[in-house]
Amino acid sequence: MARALFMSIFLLMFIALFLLLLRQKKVVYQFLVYLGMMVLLGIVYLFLGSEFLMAFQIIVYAGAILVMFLFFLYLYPEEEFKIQDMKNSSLIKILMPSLLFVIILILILFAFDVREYEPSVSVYSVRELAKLIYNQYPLAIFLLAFILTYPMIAIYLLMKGSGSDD
Amino acid sequence: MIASIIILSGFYLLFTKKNLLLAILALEIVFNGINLMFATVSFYYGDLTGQMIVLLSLSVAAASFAIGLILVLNYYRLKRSLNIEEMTELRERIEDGDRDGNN
Repeated sequence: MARALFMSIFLLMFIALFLLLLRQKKVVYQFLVYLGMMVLLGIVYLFLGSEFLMAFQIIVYAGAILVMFLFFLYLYPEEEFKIQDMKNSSLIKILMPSLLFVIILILILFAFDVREYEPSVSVYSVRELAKLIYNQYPLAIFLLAFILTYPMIAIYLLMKGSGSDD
Repeated sequence: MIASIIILSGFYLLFTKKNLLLAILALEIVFNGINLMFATVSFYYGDLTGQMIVLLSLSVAAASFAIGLILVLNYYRLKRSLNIEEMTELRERIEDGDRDGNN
């Protein structure tokens, strides 16, 4: 119960920070909001029982990456970092794969039952490995496939959209 | 669910903003969402492999961020712009004859 409550609070805080990130017009402030998000994520890691991961997350993101980025920003004039929004029509096209992702994810989470599978011969056999992956780790495979295909779909849609403007 | 929302918000940021730096930031958010998913699954199944993968992934993310910044820096030196829509050097050139359907 306490965990569900904490996760809900984290989710609300994350969404609030993300909206704040979208509203900011300057990249420096956006990265500062991003810093807040990373610290929040570190707290979630702490809650999940991995203190080392939290320390690593905060050291890498709050320390290394943010400092590197701020150093980078000092090198360039600020007017170059203005943000322009896209047109709504192309936005809807691009977010369609995300909708597909959510639907398939819900289907996998609620309709697919994960089966235990013991390899009979050896894990080094490709056939047995494939059976193991598709029986025991369908969600991981789905996410991997989605991560690999999403940029291709999005790039295709973007190119199609920009081609019609020429 | 939280990890999915983080991943989707990263993708949203990636495809709605035209700034190259924000694209890198969005990719980092996606990385973090995936890491959170690994850590959560590792926690619920009591297996430390997920956390090890997150550690490895964090190191790779830091390295890729550095390389991304270097590429952005060089691109900016070359073009004096960070707009993604102006990056059209590698796209296919359509000749006037091909556009009309003549070979």
